[in-house]
Amino acid sequence: MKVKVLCRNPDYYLRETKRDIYKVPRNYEPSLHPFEGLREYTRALNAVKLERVFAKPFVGNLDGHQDGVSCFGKHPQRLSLLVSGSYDGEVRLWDLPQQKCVRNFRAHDGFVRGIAFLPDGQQFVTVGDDKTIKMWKTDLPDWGEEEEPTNTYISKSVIMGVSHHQKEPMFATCGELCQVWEEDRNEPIRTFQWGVDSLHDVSFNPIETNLLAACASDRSIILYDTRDIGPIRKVIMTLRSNRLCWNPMEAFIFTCANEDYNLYTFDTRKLKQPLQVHMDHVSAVTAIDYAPTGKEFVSGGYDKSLRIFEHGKSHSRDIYHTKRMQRLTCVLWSMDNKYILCGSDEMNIRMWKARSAEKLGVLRPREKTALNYSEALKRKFGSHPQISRIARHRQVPKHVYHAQKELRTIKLKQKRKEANRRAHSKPGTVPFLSEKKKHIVEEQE
Amino acid sequence: MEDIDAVCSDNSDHEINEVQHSSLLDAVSQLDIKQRVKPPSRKESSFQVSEFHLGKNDANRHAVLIRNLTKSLGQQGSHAVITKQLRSIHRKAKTLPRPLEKPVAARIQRSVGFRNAKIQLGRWDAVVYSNRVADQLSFPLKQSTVSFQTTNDFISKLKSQTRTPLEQQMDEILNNSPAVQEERKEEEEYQLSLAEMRERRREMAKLRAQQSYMASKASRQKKIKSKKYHRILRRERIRQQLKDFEVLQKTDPEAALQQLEQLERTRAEERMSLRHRSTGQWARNKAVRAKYDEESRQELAQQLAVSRELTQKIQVESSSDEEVEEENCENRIPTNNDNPWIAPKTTSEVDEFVSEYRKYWEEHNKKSSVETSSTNEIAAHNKVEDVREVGSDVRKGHTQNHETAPGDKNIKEEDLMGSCSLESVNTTDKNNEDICIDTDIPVKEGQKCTDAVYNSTETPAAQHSTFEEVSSTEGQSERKPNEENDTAEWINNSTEILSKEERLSPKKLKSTGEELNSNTLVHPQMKNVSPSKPKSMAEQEDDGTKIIPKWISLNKHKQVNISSGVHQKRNISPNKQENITEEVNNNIMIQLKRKKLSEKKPNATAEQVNSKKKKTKSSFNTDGDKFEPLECHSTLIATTNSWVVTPIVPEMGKMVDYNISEGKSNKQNKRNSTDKSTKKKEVKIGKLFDDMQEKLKEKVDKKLKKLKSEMNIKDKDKAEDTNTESDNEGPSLKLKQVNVQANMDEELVEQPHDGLQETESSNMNLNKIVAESRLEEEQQEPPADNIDPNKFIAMKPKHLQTELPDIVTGGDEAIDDNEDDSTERQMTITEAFAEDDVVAEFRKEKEEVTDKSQPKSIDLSLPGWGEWGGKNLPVSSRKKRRFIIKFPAVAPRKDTNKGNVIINEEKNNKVVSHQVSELPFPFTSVKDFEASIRAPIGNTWIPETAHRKLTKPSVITKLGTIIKPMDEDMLVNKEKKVKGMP
Repeated sequence: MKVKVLCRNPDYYLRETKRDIYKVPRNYEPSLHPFEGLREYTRALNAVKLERVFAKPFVGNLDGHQDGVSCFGKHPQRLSLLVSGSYDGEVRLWDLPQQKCVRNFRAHDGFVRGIAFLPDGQQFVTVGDDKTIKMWKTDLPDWGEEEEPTNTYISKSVIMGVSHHQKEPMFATCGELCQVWEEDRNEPIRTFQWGVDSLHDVSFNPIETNLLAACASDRSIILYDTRDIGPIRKVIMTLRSNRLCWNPMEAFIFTCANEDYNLYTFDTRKLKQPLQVHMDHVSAVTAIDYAPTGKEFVSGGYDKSLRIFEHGKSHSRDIYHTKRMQRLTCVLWSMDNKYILCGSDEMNIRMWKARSAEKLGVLRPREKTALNYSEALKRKFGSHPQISRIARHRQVPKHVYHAQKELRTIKLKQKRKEANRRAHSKPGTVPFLSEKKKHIVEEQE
Repeated sequence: MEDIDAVCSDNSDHEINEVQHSSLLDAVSQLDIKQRVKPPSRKESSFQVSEFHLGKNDANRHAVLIRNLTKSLGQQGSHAVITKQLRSIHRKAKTLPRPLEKPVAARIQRSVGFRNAKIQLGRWDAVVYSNRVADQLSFPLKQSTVSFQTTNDFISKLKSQTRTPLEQQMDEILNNSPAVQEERKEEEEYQLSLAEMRERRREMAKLRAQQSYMASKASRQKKIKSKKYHRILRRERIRQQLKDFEVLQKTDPEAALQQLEQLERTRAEERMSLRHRSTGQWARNKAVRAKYDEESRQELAQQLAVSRELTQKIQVESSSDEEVEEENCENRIPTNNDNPWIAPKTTSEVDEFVSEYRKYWEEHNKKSSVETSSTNEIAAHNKVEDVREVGSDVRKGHTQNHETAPGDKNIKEEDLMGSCSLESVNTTDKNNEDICIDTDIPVKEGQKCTDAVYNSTETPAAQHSTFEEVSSTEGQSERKPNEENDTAEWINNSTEILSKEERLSPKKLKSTGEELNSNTLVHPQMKNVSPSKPKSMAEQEDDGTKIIPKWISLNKHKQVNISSGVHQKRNISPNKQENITEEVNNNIMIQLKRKKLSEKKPNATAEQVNSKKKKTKSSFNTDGDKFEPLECHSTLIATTNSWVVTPIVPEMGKMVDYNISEGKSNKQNKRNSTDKSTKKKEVKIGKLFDDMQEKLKEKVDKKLKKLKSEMNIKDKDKAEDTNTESDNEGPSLKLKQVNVQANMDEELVEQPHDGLQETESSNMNLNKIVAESRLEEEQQEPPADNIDPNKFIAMKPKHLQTELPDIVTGGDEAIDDNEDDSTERQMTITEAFAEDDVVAEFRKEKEEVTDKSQPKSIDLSLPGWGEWGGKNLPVSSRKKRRFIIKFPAVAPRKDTNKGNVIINEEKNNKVVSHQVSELPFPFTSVKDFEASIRAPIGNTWIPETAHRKLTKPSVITKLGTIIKPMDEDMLVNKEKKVKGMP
């Protein structure tokens, strides 16, 4: 015989402390919680709407330069420090949290073309239009001490860019030639030349540290092995690449910002065609930087806007712009994957959040799980038309909109024309060319 | 004269300018010789040697040669070595090849460099790909380990600081000792980190422990004197080997076959040689001693045992499996005493049955021998044997009731024989009819029986059919003309029937089980493959159609697409028919061999035949003619077939060919067996069979071609894949994404930031608002004055698609407790809705809905037009005809005949905008995608832990933590995790 007794264990329904959340005994019986798909869909819709509501990526503006900002230096250890060079040869060091300039000095006559930190972060190298390479201390000079470079190297040729080796005391410069310098020698230890064209960007591979890539003005990208061989491979594209950046997590992947409004991600081992063509910019792309996770990169260009691309995707995830921002010359993704900095022609450096709707600062655990849940929902329902529509909707400057429209019509026209030509010519004479192959002229050994 | 003078004067000149003349001559001679670059001369030492300084050959004309120098050595013995060396140098000396042109050399260098770089970069593949597909990545990837200062460390610091002079002295002495120094040196040479040292030490210790353990075990085992123990050990080893062999058979039949061959060979060798026999010198010596010495006797016995073991034939199946099988069979037999069909048969009964048949056949043979030639006799004899097999097979299904049946059939068969001799078409027809009637009898009996014993009751029918077919082999010549028509339908019929079989198979579990029995017996090796899963086998093999794919899978031809099995099956069915017959045949043979008299097996064989009959049962009489040829053909092969089918056939294609050839041989057999007196007919039959075979062969060939082409395509694809992979430098390391989610890569929907489209949009908005307001106006309910209080009761009930939780309903217990409670509840409900006529309301609602959904005819007449007579006059039919367009009749609504439902046939357009129209990228099937959407991830539906797991972000980064680029340490993860390490 069964005796029914009321049993109430306070542990089941009482909170342990006053601050604790109310205990809700859950019964996961699906019949008790119907419409899970629909309810989750609604949640996803709300989440994506809220994301758009909270999407305010602009953090701050650093002004102080008297001329356009030309380049950035990324400190390998300190997140709060930024070094920027400008067209008038001035170098400024910024304290990012305070959004203040902590130090400024005139480093070069003419443009500062490039800044690179040494691996220990104690010093940085600047190169300028005055054919000099100068090494500076990161710390402020002592009281009464003059702003002087610790070392100055005089080059025989014009220098357009600099990149420091990831570990060894060695840096590469480019210009008429590609030269590798050692910190304590006044002469370049190695000089590479392949063809006669000038190079305007150079970049050391951060993982496979002996590999060096440079963008040349003959529309090519040249790879060098700095150990003994020198140049190893060259790929010529239809238009020149302005800037090149290696993926910090994938040794063989690099992306270049091209003059033809596109960015191209290459596998170093297969240069015949890029892995991915990233196209959303409406003008020449002049700057690119990878996120330290290697999953995303940011690019900026003459269309006065920043775009964030996900690795392996051909369309941008986001576009950042402000009314007063002019052509971008340099971008930088902070080492903690949270911020993006961009320098532009109109003398300002702007700071953005890497994810526009992200809440900065410390998150409480429940907040964090809630955010994770909404993220997961967005991912889950990402292919639903309403959700993707809301998630992808952006307001852009008029000029970008118009340019895009124009580009679209141009592309359509080209497509139509090609189709017509194909239709009216002997079959096989007008071959189909994939978008990836279109932009590569040649791979040279 | 002047000339002479001139000469004279010349002479005089010559005399005068002797020196000048010589210089002139010199100059003239100089004109002839080419101008030469001066050979270089060394002036100052320098690192750089110009390439132009390498002189030409003629520059060396005046150079000092080694030859000249060595002349001075002469032929003296003391310089013999030097001269030899010099000579050898001379012999070997060659001019170096010209260096490559600079651009070519540079290109080569570059390509080599690139290749090296490629290899270098290729090292990262694994890391990169694993990171790409990782469910979650937490940056920085290399988490720095937190280490605490232990007390020992702290104390050691103190110690080094404060030391007594004595301690210091001791230290010095110790440190300077040669032993310590040597150790130090070693340490310096191979500097190991602490972790590495510990690791190494641990590994060494482990190794040593294992070694010692093994050694001790071996010594222990060796010490054991018990012969029995060693025998058991050996047996165990052998058993293990057998087991391994079985496993090997399953996994790699080829290797297994090889091993089998090897075993065979050793056995043969053993049998050939006299090793391990009692004939050798050693054995003879032992034998002498054996009389007195027990040990030597044992040794000898052992020796002989070894030889026995080696010469023993290997039984592939382990006995245990068979036992299990037997048990299973026994278990499955329903021992129903009431059922005469199932009642267990005594061996005497069986023997009786067989003997009867033997008698009959002997008689028959005698008869036929009178009529036929000697060749036929042989064939007939063969047949007798075959039939004996059939009989032995069937005897178990045989019952007392049917002991009479054979006799009847004997008569029938004799009749048949008679008709054979008559050779008239009419009579054969009659015969057919007779047979039909015959077959009817048991079927009817079967129908009388209950369903439970249905299968068993069917057995006689099957028996009968087999017998009938046996007879048909004799009466073939007559029947063939009839069959000619039927053969065309042969294939179709078979496929239909089999498809039916497939459909019905789940219903008749019993019979499938029985079929399994037969099938498993047919393929002894197959049974080996899955001895533990007879049920699944039964499911797979309950229809003969699946046998072929099964074989294929056995033969490791997994490329054959079984998923398209339905299509395939249909096509292969002609073969399959043969396969079934083979099965039957095989079954018989095997059973005979093993003498395993499990009672189900004959049933099973009968069942297989029966199952076909069952389907045509209802129209047996009418379809009998159609049906028989099929059956007769199959059993024909079965009965005349003397082949033993090897279960493993190397290739599917081969197998089919094999079947065909088998068919041919069957045909040949049959030819042998047929009368010479009926030779003419035989020719006809032969032709017919040839036609049949050709048809079959054509079909099979077609199918084969198709299959082969498919396979080829697949192979090609694979080859291409491998080609592309080979481009990728080493093996493809691409991993499969674990968590598949829609991967959107679409352009942003970008709209101008300000102004521009505002005017348009605002207009649009205005229009929208206006439209909405209008709608609202339309929808607005009539003013409150008109409210009828009765209407409020007719609230539309909103039904949620949920069950009330058990807590509310009181759960099962509550229901159990008070049955009358539920009736009470119902009562209350009826009471509550007593005044509402719910049914009528619903009917009304449904009528409204149906009216609404009915398309209205369109009235195009203009108001007032043609209505000169005024309003409310009957509309003329002409006007109706002209101006009213009737809507064509629509299909009736789905709920017209369903009284209590309203089916909404209009789709909701509001939902459409929220629905996915295209399958998103990584998904390949709608089903998968829907499944991914259906599974909830919120903690409302799933437990917190699962929720956390499903919603974890793919990338985690910490605010303010620097993420450094990947470095070499990630590549080679040297450090193994060691327990107890900080």
